[in-house]
Amino acid sequence: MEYKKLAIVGELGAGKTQLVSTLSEISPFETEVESTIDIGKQFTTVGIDYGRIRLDEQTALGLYGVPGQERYSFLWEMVSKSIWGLVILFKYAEHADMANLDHLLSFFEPGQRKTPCVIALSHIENAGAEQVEDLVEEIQTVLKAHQLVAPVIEVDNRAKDSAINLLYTLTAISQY
Amino acid sequence: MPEHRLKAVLYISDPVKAKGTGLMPRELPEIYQKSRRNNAANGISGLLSFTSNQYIQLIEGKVKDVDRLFDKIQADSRHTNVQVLAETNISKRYLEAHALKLVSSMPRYPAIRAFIRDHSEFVVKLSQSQQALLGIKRPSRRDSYAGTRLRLERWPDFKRIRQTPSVIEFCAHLASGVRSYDDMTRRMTPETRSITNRLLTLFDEMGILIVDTLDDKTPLVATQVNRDGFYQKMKMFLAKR
Repeated sequence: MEYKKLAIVGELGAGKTQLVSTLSEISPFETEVESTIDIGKQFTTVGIDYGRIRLDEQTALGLYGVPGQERYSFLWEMVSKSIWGLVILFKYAEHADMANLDHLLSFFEPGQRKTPCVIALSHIENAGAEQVEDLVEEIQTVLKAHQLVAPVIEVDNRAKDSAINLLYTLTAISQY
Repeated sequence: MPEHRLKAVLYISDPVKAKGTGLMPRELPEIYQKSRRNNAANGISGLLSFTSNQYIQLIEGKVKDVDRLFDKIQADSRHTNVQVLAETNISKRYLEAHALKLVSSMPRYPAIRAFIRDHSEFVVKLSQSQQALLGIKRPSRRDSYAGTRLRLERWPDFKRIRQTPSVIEFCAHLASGVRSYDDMTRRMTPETRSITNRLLTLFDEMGILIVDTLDDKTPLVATQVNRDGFYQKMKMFLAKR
């Protein structure tokens, strides 16, 4: 059995649960609880979201949605073993959490370990063009500090085509 | 000196040794956020970049405001080795709308190109590495890429180009290392080569394509393609979607 992992790492409310659910071929296993702070939705993930894509009888890609906050880095350890790809999911906010992105990239080291990596921007439909540009530049500044050339792509976590496009991009990168 | 006179200071500095686990200076987000607020309150506009492990900043505003801010900057313990690249009176602001804009690459930003064009007298005093930071030696868009080495500095903004499978494949190839244009296009049909040239021109216009001539010393990385079983199975899965 060949089994690899796609880590979908993101901050609170970025849409990890939805993205895993959109991509998964099995009913995703979620560990959600009622949120104690206002993040615009009632429930949030405290552990991992798990889903799976079966490629053939012997091969599968596990989908692991894990929180991006540093206090959950023990979960990063778990998903970093047999990792095939890394999606860092950002929801639109006024600014990117650059320090946390720096920390995530230092942990997963996608450049050094040749792990295909995509930065996905969600919930940006309400942002203006200049706000999105500022957000992208903040992200690119951190990528550049890591000498990582990775795509920054808008994603609609609910749309199958948009989610599949992330997989397509990761697959294209994985051959190099 | 009249109150309304404007000036600009362009400088570089080194971050203090990072104590965190990351590669970015821990102080950068704080510098960026606080400076945005302070600049807005003091009528300063600015452009900040962290690249090649150096800060580069252009600040502009009324003479007394810029002088006061630059005194503070020089005394700030969050960076060291402050070197002024240009200090000049200006007749107009180049960054009118921005209290402080963070950019990942100075050369990509039109305001810095305009500032350099209008104040080119300082360029001759810069070292080669300083000129490279500002993109002064960056080759301009060309008609032919024959005999060049190519590399994507960053992936394109997919608002400006359609995110088709072939564009994604091409970007993945060019982002993964320095590529020889001649090797890349040798076996292409005229039609495919024409499409490739159009894409390269567009990337060049976006300021994301690094173009070097073949006599440069950048080593060429042989294209190592790893289309293993897992890759093939992913491709088959995606083809059905």
